[in-house]
Amino acid sequence: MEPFEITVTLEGAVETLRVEPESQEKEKHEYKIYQDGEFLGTVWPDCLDHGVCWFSSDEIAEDTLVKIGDAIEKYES
Amino acid sequence: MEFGRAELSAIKDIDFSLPADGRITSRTLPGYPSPNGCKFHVGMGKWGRKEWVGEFYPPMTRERDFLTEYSKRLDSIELNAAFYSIPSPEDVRRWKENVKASGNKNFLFFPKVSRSISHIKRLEDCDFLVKIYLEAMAELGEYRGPSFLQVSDNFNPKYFESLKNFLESWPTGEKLFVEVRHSEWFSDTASRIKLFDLLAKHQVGSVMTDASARRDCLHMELPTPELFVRFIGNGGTHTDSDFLRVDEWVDRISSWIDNGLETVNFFCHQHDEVGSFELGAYVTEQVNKKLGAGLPSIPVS
Repeated sequence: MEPFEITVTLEGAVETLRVEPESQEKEKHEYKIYQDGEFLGTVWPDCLDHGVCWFSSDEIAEDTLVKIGDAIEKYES
Repeated sequence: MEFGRAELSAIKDIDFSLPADGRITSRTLPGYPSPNGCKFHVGMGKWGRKEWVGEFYPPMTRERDFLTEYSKRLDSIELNAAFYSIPSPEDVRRWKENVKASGNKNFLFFPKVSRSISHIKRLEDCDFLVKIYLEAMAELGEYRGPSFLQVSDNFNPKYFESLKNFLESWPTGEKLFVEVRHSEWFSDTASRIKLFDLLAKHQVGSVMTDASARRDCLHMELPTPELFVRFIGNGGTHTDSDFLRVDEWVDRISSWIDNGLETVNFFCHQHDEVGSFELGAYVTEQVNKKLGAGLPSIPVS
């Protein structure tokens, strides 16, 4: 799958992040996130009571993770 | 939804009028109203929005109650969660129970086919994935609506055979709508005819995506007497323009109902989804007023 860019507001500043979807066939769909070329972390969605919820094993602040997940969902919907 | 986003300064110059009916629409609709009338579903793309608490959801609504509150207000939703991962039967049963708690017996989920099938496998060799996807969706029971398959933006007419083979193997009786986005499906007449003839042959519906910067996706081709619109409003200062676009849809739907349209499935999005419930409320109000849809009105505070 093609990488794409998302725009999110982090700590008051508008940032453009690069998203690289992992084209693996396993059911956990991972996305690698880069900010200014620097690896920020890997995120993946899962289904909970309130629908899609985003997770990461890297140190991404929860509100940042929510914004990244929301931006990916908007891009892909 | 980011798809088809136009620069705000360009919106005022866009011709938002709906194109004429597509070639296959007059072949599909019999020319007289359906004896069973027309059924309506109006919905949105996501229920889990904390920013709706106090406006669309009652104050203090807990996240776990969002779906129940949503289904008290609207009777359908695109189940986009299924696109990201095929949910476990337990997840699906929980969603079903949440809707049941709302008391809305007309509610339908419209699941989006998993991206494993549409974007990663690109419709090839995915019988097993289709099986587990459909098994999971079966858990929705009486709340299960048709699925919709959105293929990748770069899935162009060269992949026609993949789509054809996929539809031939898609289980008969599993209702499906297809959304294509590559511009050649619409600009190349031969590809367009082949696509909509294929959908009609398999009784698969088409998704019409109404986006500001991609007017070509408004193909107005109905290969089945069922309408599935993904309407993307611009919101904010363009709300009035969004409402005028909805008005034109209502007029077109009215004409199609006179000619045999059987169902209307109208999903409201905005590029910034924060206010999409206002759009949903307006659509509901208009189809009730002008088309006698009989949907509950949506309270917006």
